[in-house]
Amino acid sequence: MQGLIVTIPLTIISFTLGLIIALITALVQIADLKVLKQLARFYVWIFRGTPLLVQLYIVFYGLPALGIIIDAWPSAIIVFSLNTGAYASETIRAAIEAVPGGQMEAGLCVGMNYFQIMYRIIIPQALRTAFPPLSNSLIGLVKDTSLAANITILEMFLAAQRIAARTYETFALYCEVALVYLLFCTVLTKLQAICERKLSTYKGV
Amino acid sequence: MLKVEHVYKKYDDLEVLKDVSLEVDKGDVITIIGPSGSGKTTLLRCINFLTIADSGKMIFDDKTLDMAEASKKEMNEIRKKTAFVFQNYNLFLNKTALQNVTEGLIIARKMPKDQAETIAKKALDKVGLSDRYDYYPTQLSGGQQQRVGIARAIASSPEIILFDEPTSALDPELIGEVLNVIKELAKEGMTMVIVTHEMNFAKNISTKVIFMDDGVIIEEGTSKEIFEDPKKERTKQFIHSFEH
Ligand SMILES: Nc1ncnc2c1ncn2[C@@H]1O[C@H](COP(=O)(O)OP(=O)(O)O)[C@@H](O)[C@H]1O
Ligand SMILES: [Mg+2]
Repeated sequence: MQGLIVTIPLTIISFTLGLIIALITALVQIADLKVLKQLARFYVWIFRGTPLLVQLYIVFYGLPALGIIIDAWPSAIIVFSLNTGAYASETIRAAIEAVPGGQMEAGLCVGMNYFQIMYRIIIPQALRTAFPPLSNSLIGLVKDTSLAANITILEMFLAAQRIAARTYETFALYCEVALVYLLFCTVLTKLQAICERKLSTYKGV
Repeated sequence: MLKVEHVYKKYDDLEVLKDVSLEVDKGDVITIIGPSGSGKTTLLRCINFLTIADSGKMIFDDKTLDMAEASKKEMNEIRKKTAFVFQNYNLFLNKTALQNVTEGLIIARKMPKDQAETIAKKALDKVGLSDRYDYYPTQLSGGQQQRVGIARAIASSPEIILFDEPTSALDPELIGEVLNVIKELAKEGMTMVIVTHEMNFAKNISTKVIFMDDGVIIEEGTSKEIFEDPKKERTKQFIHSFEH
């Protein structure tokens, strides 16, 4: 399916950006940076509280009415990464908070500062904890990218719709699409299991 | 070398430290004993600024500071001169035994990696873990983890090591190996303040014993004075409660 050529990069780019946004959003809240924290809460609230499809429509079809025109691809990337970022930031924030407080104290006692301890001790441990739920988000995102069909991006699903419109082979075609998503997600699940085994060394196998 | 004076700390309405003063001279091995909840941990934590005292004065190597108002820089300076051994070890869980020791040297003290590793290996050898450099904390027994904790403490050549009940999280058969390491340090003249419930250990190792109860120092003196001839009734009761 040539549509995968769109789905894969769309997923990878959005997820990478989403993770960066998530980490920043989580840290801003953990570090208790006054105004930024409010802003972060507001952002998470908006993006978790509204449907992804509606977000896509607002950015791609709504913003032009205000004179802001964004192409389909950048629109999709903006929405998908912000949406992933909102969910993943909560995952990462919870994972950071789950790291025992003694880790920070031990770091302070050997003379390291807050940022050194965060970067070298706490965040690596938190990412280990956050890995399974983040993998979940990634798999969710793979499937969510099918919504990009709604803003004219010729990803797998829209490609299938077009062929179906020509050939009327709707059932077979859509099943095939489902199968490709399923395969793709299965590969990711396997990768997740392999990575988790690698990461588990210090957690006592 | 270190003096803290009139340390006061309360949590809401609970007065945890009521005007506690403590003096540590070079080479001292001071043990702090007392019932649970008497403020021993809080006192150690205030010295290291893990807990900020409500008021109190600290004099460390002729430098005086207000314990309630210390700046980040002052705190960091004190922390670099001291080391802390935690009741529950608090090893960095994502680092090996060796990395646990080198981390502070390389990151906080900007020591070159190979020099840090040389020092770390020496420290781990000293606590009897020369065959465990590359083990993660979860792969070590409690006694081994605590010995890594002690190696991490001595590697930075602190002026004082603060121990908060270093053996109370350990299974009975593992306590000895940790106490032996501490005894070894005492022989070498390391200055230490040790909160402990190991009365025999305290009796043998201390140059000074402090008995704390209810946020105050009830009595202090030599090991002999406190264990064999306590003056205060509460000290007597406490010491007796450990004799079977
Ligand atoms: N962070 C805290 N918040 C509230 N109360 C605390 C806190 N830390 C300690 N306390 C209280 O202070 C008292 C002294 O505690 P601690 O110093 O740990 O005693 P010890 O080490 O002698 O057992 C206890 O009653 C404890 O419940
Ligand atoms: Mg205690």
